[in-house]
Amino acid sequence: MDLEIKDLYINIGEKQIVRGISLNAADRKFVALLGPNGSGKSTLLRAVYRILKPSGGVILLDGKEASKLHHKDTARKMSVVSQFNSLNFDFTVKEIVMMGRTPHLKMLQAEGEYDNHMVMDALEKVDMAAYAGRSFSSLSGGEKQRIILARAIAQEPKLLILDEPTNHLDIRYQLQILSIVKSLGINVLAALHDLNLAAQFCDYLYIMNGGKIDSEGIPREVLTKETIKRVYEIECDIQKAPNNNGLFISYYPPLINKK
Amino acid sequence: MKHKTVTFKFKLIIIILLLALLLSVVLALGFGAVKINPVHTYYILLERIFGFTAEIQATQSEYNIIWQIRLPRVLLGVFVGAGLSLCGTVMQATVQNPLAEPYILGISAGATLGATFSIIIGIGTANMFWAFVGSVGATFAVLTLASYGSKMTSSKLVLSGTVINALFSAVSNFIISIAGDSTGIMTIKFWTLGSLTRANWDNIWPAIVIVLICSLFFLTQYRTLNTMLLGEEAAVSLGINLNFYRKLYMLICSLLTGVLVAACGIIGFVGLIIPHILRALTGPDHRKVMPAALLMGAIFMLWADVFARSAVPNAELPIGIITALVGAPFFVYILVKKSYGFGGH
Repeated sequence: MDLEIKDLYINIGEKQIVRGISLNAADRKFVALLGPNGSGKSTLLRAVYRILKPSGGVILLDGKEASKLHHKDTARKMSVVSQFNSLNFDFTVKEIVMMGRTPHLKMLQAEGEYDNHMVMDALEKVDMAAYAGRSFSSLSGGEKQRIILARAIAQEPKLLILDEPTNHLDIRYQLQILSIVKSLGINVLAALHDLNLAAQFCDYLYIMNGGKIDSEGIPREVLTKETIKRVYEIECDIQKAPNNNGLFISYYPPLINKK
Repeated sequence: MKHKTVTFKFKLIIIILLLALLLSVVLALGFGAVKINPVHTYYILLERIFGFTAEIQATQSEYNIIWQIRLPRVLLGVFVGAGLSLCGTVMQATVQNPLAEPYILGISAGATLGATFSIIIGIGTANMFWAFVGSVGATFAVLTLASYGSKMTSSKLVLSGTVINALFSAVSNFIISIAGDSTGIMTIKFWTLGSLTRANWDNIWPAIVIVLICSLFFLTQYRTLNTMLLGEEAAVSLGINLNFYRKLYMLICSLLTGVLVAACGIIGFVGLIIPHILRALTGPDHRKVMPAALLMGAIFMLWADVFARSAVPNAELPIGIITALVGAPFFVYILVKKSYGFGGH
């Protein structure tokens, strides 16, 4: 499912968080949103997956206005890994992932062979098949994150929305999660923090600052010393990585005035 | 393989609960001021329901006590218990909070206010409707208060419930007091602590029919309820129109609470205790929790009523005392158990 956003504005209370953003996620590309804290990345994503209502502009899913589609119809093609996954009730891992099948099932329809297959397949993709019977709340943060990703995969999306999916994960799982996402070969729109990882995995970057797009393009063109200085207000050095498409960005700590 | 054993365990739980419910009905009919042999009860029921003539003859007075006095009460108890348990299960999923329950959130108090208001101003026949108006008002008030300013948390929800409960109870007790008839205190006792004494063959049907309809409806809603437990973000991204279902479910729960309170006053904590016990047994999947909670709620209410009838000789305790004695320690237990996420961490 192709995503196209045109001139989007979002207000939360009195405050305007997103101010006239246009972007695309299509052609099976891994697209990332970068930018400092408070630049509006999460807010933008929350509008795409319909928790927030935009105050202006349009969000098009396969050319149709998202607000006019049924929630169930969008959920058959778009899945989400958000930052909000606290759970007060104790489901098993398999039950959690099976919920990814919800939009594909009718109200009283029992889960069939195919649903079961998709669930186990998704668990294998995230390397958690052995945990199917375990209780979700007994898992570590990284394991939980992989289960939430498995649920999103079991949903058979054509567009995957990720809101800082590698938060709180160690480097191995950061790489693992992004590799899995990349291998799906579907449209991806992800808010990320780590510029090195974004350069290594993503096909196209949008850099946000103060609710607007500061710059956009392929990683090597858009991640420059000047852009990083302008957006994050820090100095850095950038080198091309020898063995992949990535970059080495090394940051200099900002000068702190000592009195 | 794993899946098969789980299903077997669930079936076993349901069968055991069903048998326990039938047995409880027969036994509960025997308790009271006049003790009646369960065998007699059993034959009276067989004769009356299936036209089966028994070899053991019960006396005419036993027959009257069972059929005219105790059976309507026991039936009402079964459906009130199931209904309260249903309310708790659904509300906990809807507000994604394991402490939600009509009594704790002050919704029962709202229903009482509506009902007493209608009795006092003299439109007594419509009091079920007015109880419903009261419970919807309280639901609206408590949810608005709990989500005012910032996101709804467990603590805010329970505090809002306490406030609404205190306010609405005070106003309805005030109304009963100034109405000034000699039965005022008795009436307050009935509304605030609950009782099944008023049950007879003429007045139990609205509650039974509404509980039946609501139960059937929510038995079909397990998938939506399950996704609600995952939280707002997940439910919406799984294709649930959360705003619509939240409102619909809270409205139906308010209706149910209104009807139950109009029938038997406020009976607290049932909706808190029962779903918790069953989630521990079956897991949180509503496909399993819902039918089990209905049966277990009914059984619990029957025995609470038996206790209310027979604990003190020649007197009857309000049933709300019994459920609160069991429920309040249970509430503390849930608060203390950190894994249920009360408070902010």
